[in-house]
Amino acid sequence: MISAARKTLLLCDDEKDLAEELGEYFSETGWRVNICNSGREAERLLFEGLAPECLLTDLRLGDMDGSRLVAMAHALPALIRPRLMVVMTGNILGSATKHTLGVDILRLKPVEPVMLAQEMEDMLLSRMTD
Amino acid sequence: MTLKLDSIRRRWALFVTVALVATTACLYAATTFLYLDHARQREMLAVGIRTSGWVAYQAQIELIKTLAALRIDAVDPSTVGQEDVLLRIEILRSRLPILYESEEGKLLNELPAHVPTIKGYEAIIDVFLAEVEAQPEAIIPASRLNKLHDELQPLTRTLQKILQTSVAYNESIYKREQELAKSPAFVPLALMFFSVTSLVVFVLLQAMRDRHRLIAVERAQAEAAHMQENLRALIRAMPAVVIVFDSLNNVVSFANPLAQTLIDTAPPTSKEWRRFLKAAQDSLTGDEAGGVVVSFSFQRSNGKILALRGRRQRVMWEGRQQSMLALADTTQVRDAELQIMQAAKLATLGEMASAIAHEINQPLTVIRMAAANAQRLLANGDTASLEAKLDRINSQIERARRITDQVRRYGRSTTLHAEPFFLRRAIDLAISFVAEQYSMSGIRLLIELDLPVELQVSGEQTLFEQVIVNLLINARDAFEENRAKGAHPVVQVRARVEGEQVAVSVQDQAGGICHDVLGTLFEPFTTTKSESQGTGLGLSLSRKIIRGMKGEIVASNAGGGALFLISLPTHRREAELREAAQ
Repeated sequence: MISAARKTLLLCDDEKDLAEELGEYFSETGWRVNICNSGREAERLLFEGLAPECLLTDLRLGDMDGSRLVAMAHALPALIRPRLMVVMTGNILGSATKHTLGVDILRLKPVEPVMLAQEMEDMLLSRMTD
Repeated sequence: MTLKLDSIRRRWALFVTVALVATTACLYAATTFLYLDHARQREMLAVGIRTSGWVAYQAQIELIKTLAALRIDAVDPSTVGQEDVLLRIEILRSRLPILYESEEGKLLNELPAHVPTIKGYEAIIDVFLAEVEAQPEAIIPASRLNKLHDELQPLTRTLQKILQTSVAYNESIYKREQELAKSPAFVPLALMFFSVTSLVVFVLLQAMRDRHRLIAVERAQAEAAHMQENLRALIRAMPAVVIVFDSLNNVVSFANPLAQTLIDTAPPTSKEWRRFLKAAQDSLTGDEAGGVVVSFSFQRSNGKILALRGRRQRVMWEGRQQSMLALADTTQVRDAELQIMQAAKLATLGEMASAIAHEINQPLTVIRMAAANAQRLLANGDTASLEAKLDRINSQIERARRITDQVRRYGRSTTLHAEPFFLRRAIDLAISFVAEQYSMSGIRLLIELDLPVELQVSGEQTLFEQVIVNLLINARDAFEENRAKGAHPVVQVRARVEGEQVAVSVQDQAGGICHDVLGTLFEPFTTTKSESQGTGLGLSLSRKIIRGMKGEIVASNAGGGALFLISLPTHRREAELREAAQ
């Protein structure tokens, strides 16, 4: 079990309604959530040292590609780098995999929130205990 | 060559006619003039000759009287006798000059030879009269009277000769007149003959020419009749719809068998024919100089929809100006085109399946998350916040419905039924259709639609959207193909009104179209894409669709990419053009 203080999430989706619902769901399940609706805003927060444990982003953002945001997060210093990176995509024919994207979890929309939250928590726990 | 010969022949015939008429007229005038002059001269000559004989005779009588008076007075000279002598001498003196001075006297050929002699006698008389005048009271002696008698005596012979000459001349004139009376003058006769001959020749030539003309006219009429019959046979046998109608009252004068089979076998005055002609006239475009194009669909009373395309011409038919429609039945071609257009649209839909799925997954994801949150709220007994969740779910369902509606509308069966639609909305719909794909490809769409919202054009809206979608997909593919070569990920869609025309352009910055392909870009099966990507029918269909809207589409290279420019008449202008064509 991870303490609530460690369950921090930076959630990035240009779809405002979706970002709000996801943020609400994860907040209610014990996560501290920061929501942003653009890749640049997420990039700024990460550079400013927000240092969330988890980064959850849509693959397609209005102003940039989600994979670019992930690549930028990987390039952050270890102290502020998210331990867990998750991507959601609505592109059913996309050839990207979680390995090519360099993420821990890749989910097709519409995601099942209970399972996603559980998987993220399990994976984060395993990372923390490593 | 034949025309030139005909012209020369006509001019020659005209010249001959004028020459013959002029010659005949001159000959008639000359004949008449000569005849009248001849008659007048003959009459004058006869009168003159006879008068000249009379003058000589008178002179001779006066001489005899004078000689007699001289002899009588010489026997016993007296005052009374002397007066008689003087009277006779003066009369004689007055008669003698008449012989050679009068017109009658001049007609006698031999008179000039006697003039000196006559004048000599005149001098004798003058001397005698001068003597008498010198002594008016004196009695002239007998010796002087006898002397004068003897001096004048020879004049008797001279006058006798002149009289004889006159008589002989009269006789010859008489004989000539008799001859002339028996045989008319040769020259007038000849002239008369030539006149009549010229007239006859003229009349004959005119008759021949008229006959030739008549034959030519009859031959031309026969040929025209044959040609008309052949033309009708040709029209009847033509595998095309041919209809002649009076555009004033829309009554069909002629319809070939194919037209009757295809449209209506009822009499040409039937409602079906009137409906057909109205549909044809409503679709007229172009002008008389360039040819009026007819392209329309017509639904028969049995429900079958025909597609017809051709031209309308003004013709003289049965002696009055009418309109002729020559149409090809393009129903099968239209059906095939519709199938191809439909296939192209479905192919586009297929291409965009990924983007469509993404578009639908977005609201689905929101719905799922909102539903999960609603369940949690319900479990917690927080029903107050449920309504907001349900509203969000509803709005996302509505969003998904719009997407599926758009797909359904776009994928519905294609028709060629033209009706006015709002151009700006159509362009917006087409752009929204590919916007997600552009977003996925990282291409920026610059949109400048300087159009009034209410501006309408005429055509089939989804087909026009297909044209814009096709151009935008081509631009995207060109960018993808040339991404490595430094193509800029920008595509501009512009639209503006230019008078009664609307210009819509799609321009990319992906390197442009190969010069070799540019000339045949809109021909079927021309493509710059790989075989797996392009059929080569997209632009060909696009041109057909735009031309069907009375517009034009052209391609060029500009600003480092391809520029496609569509010109369309506004609905109002299109209606005006159609009215003008009628």
